[in-house]
Parts: sequence; structure tokens; C-alpha cells
Amino acid sequence: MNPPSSSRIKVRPATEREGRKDYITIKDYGFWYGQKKALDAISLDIPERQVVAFIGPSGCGKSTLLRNLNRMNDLVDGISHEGDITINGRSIYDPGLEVISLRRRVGMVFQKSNPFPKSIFENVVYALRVVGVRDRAVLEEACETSLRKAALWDEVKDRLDDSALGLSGGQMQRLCIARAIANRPEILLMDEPCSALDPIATGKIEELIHELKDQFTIVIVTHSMQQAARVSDRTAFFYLGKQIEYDTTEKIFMNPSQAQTEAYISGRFG
Amino acid sequence: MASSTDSSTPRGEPWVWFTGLGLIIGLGMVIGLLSLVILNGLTVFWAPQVPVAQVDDGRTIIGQLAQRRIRAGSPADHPRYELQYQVGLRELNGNSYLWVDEAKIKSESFPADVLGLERVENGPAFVRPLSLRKSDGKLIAVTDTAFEAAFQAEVAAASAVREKLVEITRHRIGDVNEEMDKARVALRRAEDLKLADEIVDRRRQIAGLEERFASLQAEAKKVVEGGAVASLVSKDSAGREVIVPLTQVIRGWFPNRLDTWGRVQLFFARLGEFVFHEPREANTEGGLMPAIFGTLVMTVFMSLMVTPFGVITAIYLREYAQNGPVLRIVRISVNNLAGVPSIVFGVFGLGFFVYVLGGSIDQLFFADQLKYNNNTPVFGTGGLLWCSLTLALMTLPVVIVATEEALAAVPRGMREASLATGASKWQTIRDILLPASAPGILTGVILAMARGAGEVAPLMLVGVVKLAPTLPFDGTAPFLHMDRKFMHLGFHVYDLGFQSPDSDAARPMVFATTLLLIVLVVCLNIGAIWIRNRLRARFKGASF
Amino acid sequence: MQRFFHDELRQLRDDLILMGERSLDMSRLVLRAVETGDDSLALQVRGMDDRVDELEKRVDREIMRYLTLFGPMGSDVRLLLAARDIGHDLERIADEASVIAKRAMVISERGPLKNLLHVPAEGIIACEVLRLAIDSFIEGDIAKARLVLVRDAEIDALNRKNYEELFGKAGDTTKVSASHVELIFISKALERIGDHSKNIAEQVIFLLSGEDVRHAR
Repeated sequence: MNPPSSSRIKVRPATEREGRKDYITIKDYGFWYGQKKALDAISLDIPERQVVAFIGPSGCGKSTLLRNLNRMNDLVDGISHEGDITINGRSIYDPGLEVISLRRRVGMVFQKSNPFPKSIFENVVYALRVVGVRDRAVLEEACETSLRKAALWDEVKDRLDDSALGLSGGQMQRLCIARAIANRPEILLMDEPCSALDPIATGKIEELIHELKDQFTIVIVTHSMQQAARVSDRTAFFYLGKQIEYDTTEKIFMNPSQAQTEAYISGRFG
Repeated sequence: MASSTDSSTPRGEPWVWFTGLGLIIGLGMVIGLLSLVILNGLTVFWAPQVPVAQVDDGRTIIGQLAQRRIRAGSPADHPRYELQYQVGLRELNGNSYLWVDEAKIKSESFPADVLGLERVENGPAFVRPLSLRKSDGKLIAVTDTAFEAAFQAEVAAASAVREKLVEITRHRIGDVNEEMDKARVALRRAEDLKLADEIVDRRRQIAGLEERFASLQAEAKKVVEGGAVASLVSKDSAGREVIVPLTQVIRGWFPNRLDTWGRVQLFFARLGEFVFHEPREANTEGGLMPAIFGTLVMTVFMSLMVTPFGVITAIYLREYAQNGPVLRIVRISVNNLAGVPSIVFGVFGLGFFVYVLGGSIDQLFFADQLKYNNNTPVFGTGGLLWCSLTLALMTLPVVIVATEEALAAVPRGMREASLATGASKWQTIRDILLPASAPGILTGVILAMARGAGEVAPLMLVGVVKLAPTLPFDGTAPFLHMDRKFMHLGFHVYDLGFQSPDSDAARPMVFATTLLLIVLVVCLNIGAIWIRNRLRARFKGASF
Repeated sequence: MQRFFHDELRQLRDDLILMGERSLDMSRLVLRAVETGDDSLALQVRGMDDRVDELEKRVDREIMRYLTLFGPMGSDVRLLLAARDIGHDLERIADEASVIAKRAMVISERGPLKNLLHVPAEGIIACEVLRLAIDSFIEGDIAKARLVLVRDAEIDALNRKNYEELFGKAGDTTKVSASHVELIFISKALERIGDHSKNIAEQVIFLLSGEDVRHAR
């Protein structure tokens, strides 16, 4: 068998990496779209610099919960919530907290990669421009750092001024990841980032997640259990807006406590 | 066993032919219209052979064939035709055009000495020259081989003299006049306010200007008299002797001597004059430069004004306004605005822009003018600014709707991605949405321009005139005069077609002007489309 | 493309090889204990058995984890299945070595035996065959694995010879001492070590070629 490639960052095992155990806390959280209850009494703690996967069948609320973490659901009319979500001790609904500053600390990658119709360079540094950084040298350095972290630098370093729309699907998604981490957020939210990609591109992104978790707290929503099993340290299983089980990934997949979880992961669900 | 109805051709095939038919009809109409306009418009500039016709009542007609039609009252199976000749020499013949019963024409010949003249006043002339008196006094007979060359040379010299005269009278004397007007207004104001020093200054200024005026006039006189004037002696169709000073002649040609290449050259020369020179003879002759310029400037201003208004309104409607009954009402109103007849906009423009706004501006900024210049309004009357604004208002709904559609077509993901990065709503709009919807917005502007360039009715009320003495753009500060009235191609067509005293002479010009208008609008559209294509290439992700 | 979880397969292999080396060390050591009658060696071997048991549990956990979380395909599946059986066989080999150590201590209590029959030779071959089996796994050498299948017969032959020499052709048990009985147990244990080595070789052949050569007559 081949030894691991030397260019890869050696990731410290989970036990060494853990920082605060309650870095993101979700406490008795309920969420409504108008009259429809989408989330019911969710309580879980996400530790620092771990990967947590949200799994469950369609419509179970995993994406809704994810989008609540950076308050992207504020864009929808008629929403309401109960309970609280805190990040590093501070509630995200704190009236003194500007939503914009929350979103700058929590990056997001979407299911369908959505690079802006600008050059690759402009895409990556967008987050920095938005906060007012103008210095070209600073922008270029941040661009290179992000693209390197997203494992895209070698492929695009000679064509940073080309349109981002000319990249392949996998490259676009890695560009979106680079864009999301450019401003050094602490948390990275990923909403089914690989569902539109082929297996090789998916593999590259999973490798990326594996490396990024040394520096970022990552929450990933995926409809692929296998993916959740591969990349995450902890997994939460949701069904119809309720949290069914939340534990280490090994426990969930090797020996879950709840019968529903067992049914879902063995494919006997529905 | 297969039944007779078991056919393998796809159902509904005939409808495809039907839709094709619709397309053909549409194309046919467009091509038909264009052909009609082009043919009728371009034949104005072509110089055919000019016959000398003998009518059986003894008259001789020298003239260019203009039209041929069926005589009124002629039996249907045996139609009788009459011909219209352009004979020119309106001051002698009373009318430039003449109808003659075709049957009454005994004979036609095309002698080589027939000369056509385009003149400054009184229209064209078709004569048979006898001799040319050159500016140095020498006489050359038509039979002399050097006649034609000498003639053209003298015409050229005369043109130079004429142009110099125009430069003195119109430009320099015109400038002096303008300055004198301003000085007189200032003087009256000073007198009114009893500012003794100023009164003295102004009087001195006026005196100086009057001196300049006098000297310029003398110069003009010298030019007129100094160049000894060449003249042409010829016989008209009635045999009368006609003397035409060559300063009156703009162009002369021998229609029966020209070869095809010569005719083509003449065609392009006339076409050039049409596009680049100024009108004369109550707009029935000469060029359309001021009208072209006016149309162009007005359309550009209209676009410049409607685009920001329309885009900003659309952004508000789509991005910031709360969903609810109020928003729906606003949207419905905007859409209905597109259906309001254009003359209504003209009335609104007159009432609100000209009288209310213009009047207020005059009261606030040009009170002196009003007081001391016989209440001549500056902005309180029709002009370029109000025309542009009125048309901008008229085409506003088009731009708003197009912009809203373009904004809505930007994929939701792009918006979300920008917001998720921590950008504010305004930053998202400015950096992502507007550039991405730029092609769609430009489509709206193109439509608006096309609509605005063609509207005439509102313009008539708000600032377009038959003949404008000056262009809205010229050398005097502030270089762009938004208060001036201007000429417009569309209005020109109306004016020529319905208001001109010599409808026969105006007819060909109507078509030519129409053709020019179409060409202008097409050019504007092509320009805008080119810009849109450039933008589209830059933002490959746009859907329009 | 090397994935991050492929490292865990490598770790599994390393653990198996470690188990193999430990079992082999135990076998060699216990053989010396039998030949020299050194009780301290026997005790050492018995202590090493615990370590091998721990390794077997660890290998099983790793296999279970890999199967559940990483969805292996192709040769990775054969590796995991083969690893499970090889682990068990190695653990059994270690157990047999431990049994041999116990028997050796019983013998030495009674006093050294002069005639060890063919047990030393049997032991040497058993160790050689085990070495061969482990090497065939490490090197991925199918020829070595097949050689194991052949040489196991030698161990069986020597075991039978031990029986015959001790009990004679007629199976006469009257002149047999207690220590010799212990020796027969040791011989049996060595024969079982050979069988387990054969099982390992069969698994290696399955791993490398996909062919199931078990229970061949």
C-alpha cells in the first residue's frame, strides 16, 4: 500500500483537536415557516474543530437547521423561532449582534455551486472587499492562501483573471469553498456540497473537509449516509423536524440507540 | 391490419406550417415597408436623363420626370396617363411641377446641352445655357469645349464665397448679436437698480459690440461685392432669357451628358449633402443635419435620463418594497403607464415640466432675463430638456419592467451566496445583481430608445420646431444648451407631409426623411446591441 | 487517489503483521522452553498471550469500523474478511503456544526429559511454516502461501511419528510416562499450529486471487 502523500496536512486525531465542547449550542430550538413547524425542540452541542453531519430523509429539517445557524432563513417572510442558538457563548439572536457580522464569521457553501460571474480572483476576495479591504497585496495573499487551503491553487494559479464560470463543476465548488473561507470564518456550513458532483470531485472535497477540520468547525448536511460516515466526527439524525439521535459517528453507524436510526442507516426506512 | 387513420406523421404538423405563414407575413410586411421607403426615398437623389418634350399645344417642356399616374375620369379599360415634370424656375413658372397629359406629348428629345441647377432660392432650374460670364468678365459660349470645366470652376468659386459669407453672418455676427442681447439685458437691469458704474460699463460694452457688428457687416459687404459675380445666361423652356448669378447655384449638372459612373457620383454627392448639410427652401431642399442631430441628441438624453430612474425604481420595487397590496397597485400602475397615449404625455410635459417646473426655474435663476428681455422665457418654454424628460417619462415603464425581469432572472443562488458572505443587501445589489442583469437592463433601454426615437406627438407640444436657428450643441459656453428648441426627424416627416406649401416638392423628401429616420434608429439599436453583447460575453452566466 | 481513510487499512495490516510476529516469537520461545526446560521462558510466553488477545480485539474493532464507515469495495473487502480469519488463527496459534508453555512447565517440574521424540523437529518446521504464512501475507506472495499448504503435511507426518514411537504400533500405553503424555499434547498443539498456519495461507490465497481453496482433499 502507498504511504500517505507528503503534501497532505497530517490531521491530528479527534481527541487532540477538540477545543470547546459547546462551541455551538442549540438549545430547545423550534422553528416555524409561518404556521408550519419545521424544527421541534432541537438540542445539541457542536464542539470546536469537529465535523458534524446532519442526516435524515428529505424534509426532515436538516437544511433548515443548518440555515438557521447563519440566519439565512431571515430572508424568508413569516418565520419565527423559539429557543436559542449560541456561538462561542453569544446568542445569534442577540439584538446587539448585526446579522452581517454573524455571516462573516460563519461561511456557507451551497448545494449548487454559485460562483459570481466575475474572475476567479474577484470571487475569492469578495468577502474581503465586502468588509472594506482594498490593499491589493493583502487581497492577493488572502486569495492564494484560500485557494491553497481549498486545494485549487495549483489548478488556477495561472488564470486568476479568467471568468470563474469556465471551471468544471468540482472546481467551482472548491472555489466556493475558497470564497467561504477567505475571510477566515470560524465555522463552515456546507449544505449538500457534493450532491451535484461526480465521485472523483466528491472525493476531492471530502479530502478537503478532512484537512480543513484542523482549523474550522464544520457542519455538513448530506443525504448520503456513506459520506456522513466517511467525513464526520459526530452525526445527528433528524426526522420530521425532530432530533432522533446525536452521537459520535461510530456509535451512530455501528450501534445506534434508536430503532429509527437503525432503520434509516440500514436502508429499511420508509 | 393497419387502418387508414394509422399514420406515422406526427400530429399537428399543419400547425407548424401555419406558424411559418405568420412569420412570412410579418417578414413580408417589413420587407415591403422597407422597399417602399428605400425606393421612394433614394430615387430623390438619382439624376436621370432630362427630356425636352414638345406638347401638341405648342409648349416646350424641359423637366425631369417625377411621376406617372392615371388621369382622373379616364375609362377603366382604356386608362389615360398623365406625367408630372419637375421644371423648376418657380419664380418664372409659378410652380416647380407640371402635369401633362401623356397623350398630348408629340415628341421627346434628350439634347446634350440641357443643364440642371440646384439653387439657393426658388428651387431647381432646368435650362439650356447660352453663355457663361466668368468672374473675370470673359464670356464663354456653350459651344466652347471649355464651357463645362469653366462652369464647374465658377460654381466652386461661388460656393467658397457663399460659405465665407455664411461664416461671417451666421457665426461671427450671430455671436456678436448674442453678446449684445446679454449686454442689453444687463444694462436694463443696471438701469433698473440704478447702479451707475455698471450702467456706464454696459453702455461702453454695447458700443464696442455695435462697432464690431458694423465692421463685420462691412466685411460681409466687401465679400459680396468684392468677388465679381459670375453669371449664366440661358434659355428656359419658354424661350425666355434667364440670367442666373452663380452665387445662387449650389450644383449644376448636364443630365444628358453624364455616364453611369457620373450619375453614381452625383447620387452620393447629393446623399452626402442630404445627411450633412442644412435645410433650405422651407425644409423641402437641402440637408437634414439639424434634424438628425436633434433626434440623436434627444434620444441619447432620453436614454441617459430614463436608465437611472428606471433601474432605481425597479430595484426598489423588487428588492426593498414589502409584499402587499400597495406593491401590487404600484406594479399595476407602472404597467398601465405603458399604455397611455403619447400625446397625453405631451400635455403633461407641457403643463408640468414647461409651465410649472420651467416657470419656477426661470423665476429662480433667470429673473433678470424675464424682467429685462421682454419676458422671453428660458426654461419656461419648450426645449431639449423638457422633450427628453417627457419622453423619458413615457418610456419609463419599459425600462422598469425589463430591469425587474432581469433582476428576477439572476439565480437565487447568487444572491444567497453574496449574503452568506456577509455582504449587505446594497452591496449585493451593487456588486452582483446589477452587473449580472446589465444585459437585460440594456435590452430594456434598447426598447425604450426605439420607442422614444419614433414618437412625434408629445414632442410637438414640448419643444420641437420646424426650423431651429441653432443647434443645441455649439461652441459657446455652456456648450450644451438644454433650453433651446431643436429639430426632429419624425416631426420633419409630419411637417413636410402635411404642412409644407409645395406638397409636390415635399413628397420625395418625406420618403427620404423616413428612410433616414429608420436608418438612425437602426444604428442606435445596433450600437446598444453591440454594447449588450460585450456585456454578455463578460458575464457568461447571464440568462438574457 | 489516496483517501484519508485508506490509512486505516494500512494500520490494520500493520496490526495483523504485528500479531503474526508476536505469535511467531511465542512459538520460537516456547520451543526453546521445551528443549531447555527453562521455566522462565515458558512464563514469558504465557504473558505474551495476553498482548496477542488484545491485538485480536483491536483488529476486530478496526475491521468492524472500516466496514461500517467506509464502504469498501473489491480487494479491500477481501482484505477485511481475510484479516478477520487471519486474526483469529493467529490468536489461536498464540493460545496453542501458551498451552505448550504450560505443558513444558509441567514436564520440567517432574525433571528433564531425555527423549523428546520428534517434537523439536516438528517445532522447527511449525515455526518455519508459520514464518512462511506470515511472509506470504506481508509480501503478497501466492507461491509461498501454496508452499505452506504443502509443508503442513510434514508437520502432520511428524506428529503421527511421535504417536507411533511413543505408543508403538500396537498402541501399547503401559511403558509411557506422564511426561511423555505431556509431550504428546505438545506435539498435538504443534500440529494445530501448523493447521492454523495452513488456514492463514488459504486466506492469503483468497485475498490475492479470490479463490477459495479451503477444505480441499
